[in-house]
Amino acid sequence: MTDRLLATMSAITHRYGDVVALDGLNLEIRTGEVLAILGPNGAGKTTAIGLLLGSLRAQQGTVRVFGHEPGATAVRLRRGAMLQVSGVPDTLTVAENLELFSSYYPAPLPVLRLLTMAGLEKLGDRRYGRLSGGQKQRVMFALALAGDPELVFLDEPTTGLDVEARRSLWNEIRGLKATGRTAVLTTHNLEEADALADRIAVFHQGRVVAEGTSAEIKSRAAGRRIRCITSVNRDEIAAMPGVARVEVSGQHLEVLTARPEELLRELFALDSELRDLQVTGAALEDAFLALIRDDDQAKAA
Amino acid sequence: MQATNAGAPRPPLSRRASIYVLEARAEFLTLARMPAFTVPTLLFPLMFYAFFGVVMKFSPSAPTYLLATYGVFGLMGPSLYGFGVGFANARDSGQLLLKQTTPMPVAAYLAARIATALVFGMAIVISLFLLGAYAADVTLYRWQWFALAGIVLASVIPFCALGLAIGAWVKAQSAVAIVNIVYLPMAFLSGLWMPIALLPSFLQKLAIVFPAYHQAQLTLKVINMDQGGSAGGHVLIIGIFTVIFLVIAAAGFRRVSQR
Amino acid sequence: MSRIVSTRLVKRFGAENTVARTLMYLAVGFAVFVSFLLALPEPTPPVTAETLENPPPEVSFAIVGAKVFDGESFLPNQDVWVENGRIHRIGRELDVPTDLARVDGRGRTLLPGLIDGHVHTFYGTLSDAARFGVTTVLDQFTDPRLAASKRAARDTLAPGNEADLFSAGMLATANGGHGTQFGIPVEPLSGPDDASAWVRARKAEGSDWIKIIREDGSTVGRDIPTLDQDTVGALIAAAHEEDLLAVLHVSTLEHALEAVALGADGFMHVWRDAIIDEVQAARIAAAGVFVVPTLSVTASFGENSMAPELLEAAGGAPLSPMQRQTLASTFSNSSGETTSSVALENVRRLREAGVRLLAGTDAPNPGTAFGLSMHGELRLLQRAGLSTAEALSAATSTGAEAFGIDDRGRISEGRIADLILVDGDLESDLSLSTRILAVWKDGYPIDRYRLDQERQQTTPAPSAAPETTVIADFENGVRANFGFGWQVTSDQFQGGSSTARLSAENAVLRVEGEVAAGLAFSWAGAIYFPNAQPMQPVDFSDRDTLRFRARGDGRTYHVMLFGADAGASAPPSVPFTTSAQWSEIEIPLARFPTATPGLIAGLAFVAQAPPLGSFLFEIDDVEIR
Repeated sequence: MTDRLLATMSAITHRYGDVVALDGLNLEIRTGEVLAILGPNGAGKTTAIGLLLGSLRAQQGTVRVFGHEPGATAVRLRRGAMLQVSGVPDTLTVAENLELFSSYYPAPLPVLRLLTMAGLEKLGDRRYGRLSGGQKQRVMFALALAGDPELVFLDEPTTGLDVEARRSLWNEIRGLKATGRTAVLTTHNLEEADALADRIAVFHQGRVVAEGTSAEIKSRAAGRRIRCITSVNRDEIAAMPGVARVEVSGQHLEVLTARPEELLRELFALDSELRDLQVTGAALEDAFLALIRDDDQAKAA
Repeated sequence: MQATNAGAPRPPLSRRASIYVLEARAEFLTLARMPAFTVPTLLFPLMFYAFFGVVMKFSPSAPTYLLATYGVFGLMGPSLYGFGVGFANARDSGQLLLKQTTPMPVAAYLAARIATALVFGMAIVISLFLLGAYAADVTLYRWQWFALAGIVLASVIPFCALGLAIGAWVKAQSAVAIVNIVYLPMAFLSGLWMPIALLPSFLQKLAIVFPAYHQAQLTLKVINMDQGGSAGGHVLIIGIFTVIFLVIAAAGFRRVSQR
Repeated sequence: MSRIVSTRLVKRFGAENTVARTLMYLAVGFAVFVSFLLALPEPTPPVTAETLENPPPEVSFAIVGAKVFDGESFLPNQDVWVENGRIHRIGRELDVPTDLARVDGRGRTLLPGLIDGHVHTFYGTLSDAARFGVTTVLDQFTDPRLAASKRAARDTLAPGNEADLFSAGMLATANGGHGTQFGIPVEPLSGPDDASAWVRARKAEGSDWIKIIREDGSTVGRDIPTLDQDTVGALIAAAHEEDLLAVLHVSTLEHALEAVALGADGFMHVWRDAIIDEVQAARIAAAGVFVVPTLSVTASFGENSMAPELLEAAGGAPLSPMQRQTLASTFSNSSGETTSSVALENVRRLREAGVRLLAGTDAPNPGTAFGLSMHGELRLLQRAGLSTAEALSAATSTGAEAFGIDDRGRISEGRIADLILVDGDLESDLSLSTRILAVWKDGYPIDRYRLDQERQQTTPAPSAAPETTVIADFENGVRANFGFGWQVTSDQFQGGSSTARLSAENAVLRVEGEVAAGLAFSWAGAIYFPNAQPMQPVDFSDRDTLRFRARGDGRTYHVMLFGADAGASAPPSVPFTTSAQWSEIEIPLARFPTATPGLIAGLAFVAQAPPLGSFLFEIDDVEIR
């Protein structure tokens, strides 16, 4: 039953004053998946998490988690969350914090197990205030798991961490899936989404502009990156069908396109002198940027 | 599975009780491990009492009078700091937000802070009474010792409410300053440091606007050194203050959650 | 999971464990807190021996190894064996039966119950006296019916909490003379011819002796009608005819010497107008006349009240509201420092001449409290030159013998076991007399710490209100048409230092003074007692309005209404404002929320803090309608 819906957001519009944070958003979270909400800062990711957690109330549209209002106790008992800005008292030890959070739940994970799951085995007796940034994030991660939740929200879990700490937390997050949990992850880091998510929802200006597996997203955007030296006018290329982006890089032009064969045919027809040709698969980043650009263009039109 | 049930079943009593106990324990340990909190909280009333009540002792009944008022003063510390500063900190650092994502009952969180203020209050009462009884030869009937301790401890109610009102409106960085602005002048003007009768008369008239004044008068009633208002009146006024503070606090929370 | 985990963590985890541990700490902490509170010092009497926390309930017991003041001198290391309420034997290392209850007397002093030579008895005052070791009072004027009601108690050895009462009953005075102003029934005499019948009537009523007033008010600047010399002489002769003592109230040396010549047996005050010379003193001594100087009341007359000292010394035994009130009061027309030093000097000279001196307080006059003030009187007598033993004799054996009450006043075989045990060596320090460990009356221990229950038993029904509605118009000074009258009241008995003076000039009551900073509630002013006895109720339930005229310095004053059940809490009060012009003030009694019009015991017109500082107001035509 991997397709069973754990949570839905339908037709959500949310404003802060004149600023539209979410604009008719629709999103589904399915049982057992790791869903990454990917988007630049200000895309509405944290607002969406706030709504899913029930700490924000939907202004328009409906949010359902486990079939309930997102803030209901029945929901809280079955989910855990790691917030962007949060903490626990500096003077309590890791274990004391975990023990306290565990007490909130009817069937919590044992504290020792939480310590292991978060890679904190040796830090149980250390006060929170004396931990490094990465260790603190692990504590937050462990706290999110304290109640043995079915659903875990991870709001930008690795922001501000160095590469090593980030990679190591990724390992723990991957472990979630192995235990059959559903996770929703927000990030503006494409690599992170690529590395962790089963499914990615790309947010831009309060809407989902693309949704699918990492591969699907990549292909749904411009499929190939073509790099070459050519005399064809840049604007001319940009106007060709399927072209997502044209950039000048020294002598070279870099073109992102969803229809590389067609483009190449056109290019060779126009410029037989074309040389130094390279064709590569587009990175997720390219797809992401392309999707955002398409969205901007669509709005402008 | 209970996924489709409308509400979660009420957790068994033992589990709810253990949330309250652990929450209070965590709150207590958090503060107890902060010397910046514990040292002034425990020492200020004691030092002032030692100075004004034991060393200066400007009248034979001063040690007894000041025992009551410094008790109330002592309780203001943990109540105002715990709720005012502690709460503003917890909110601005995101600790509160994190707890709100969990099924923790809000009542447990408030109860934990009140319980912590009470535990510190008991320590303050013990230290003050020790000093009063053995350094200043204060003797009181047993019921008076108990009533004094009880009413002093009961002052957590208005002071925690006041702290909450401050904590709900003030930013963490300015909370200490604001609490001090409320705490020290109110203590002085309510006659907690010096007998109110020694203040200029316009200040004496002003005192009735402070909950600490009424709390002190209630406490002084036990030793028959109050200014003569009725106990019920003081309780009523303290009750009204408490309700006002809670309303202010609630308005503060509403403002925050709409942000 | 297989990584190294400290065993401490393993042991600790399990939330149940932590909860249980936390609860245990809490329980232990709370237990410590409560036991700490239980262990805090209480203002109990300085009792050190187990036996005294529960003095033997039997009327037979022994006090072992005490220093004894036997009525005349101190005897070290004595055993006193009490049998059925009387002293059975006294001596060193008595062969006391082993089953007899014993009280450890080591390090303590046992003395006879004190005899207050000058009081005026009201309901409740006899137990107030007994709580402070005064087991007999010699009353110098009270309602004869009250005296009669207490007579049975003094003739039996039954348990009780009251001092024995001996009384002159009604006093002999002129029409409108001193003694007629209190509302206690008095039959005045108009001349020597009345004397014989009057004295016989007293004897029939049960008076134990005759009290005669010779007072013209000259020492307080007033002109009061008084009995003349002939009538006084006739009264003394008539009393002696009936085998009764004749004692006198005099205020001047001249009156005293005149009375000695007429055969008087004793003086109930020492005169304050002049210092006696050696010849005169010798004449009094030779006549065998005794003097009860009542230095306590003189001290308070001269603004040297013993009240603060005594409050400090009371040592935890509860004072009744009346004791507090009378101790706090001061005379409305005090006459300065000199009177008390004159009185002390007179006592010094009388002692040197060998005149018999008796301790007496004149309680419950302003500045005195029943019982407690006897300890102040002892100190004052010592200040007048009496040795510790002499002062104690004046308070025990001398009084008993002067008034012919031979069954008490000494610790000797066969006398009534009226006893006080005090902590420490009284011979070395007379002020230890207030450190009372136990008081026995007729061999029964007195419960010194129970006040409320016993007061409820003795609080009488309120007196009926008089027909007149006018309390006072001050046409004849600081006087009232009924009741005990006007006195100064202030915060002094709570440790405050506010003052007030009362005077009546131009037929209005002038109240002036100063409200001084104190610890709690500061006030000063005038209080009026409607009953003949201070702080006892009058039933004003058929009245509904208090009305008076007032003017003053513009500040706000308060009327405070005292109920008979006045406890610790402040009485209800209603403010009124004064201006330079007279204004009529009417206050419905209903505005005193917690007072019952049926039980009004006092009415005070006071200045309260804030503000502090001096005040002055005048009132007139006080009426309760």
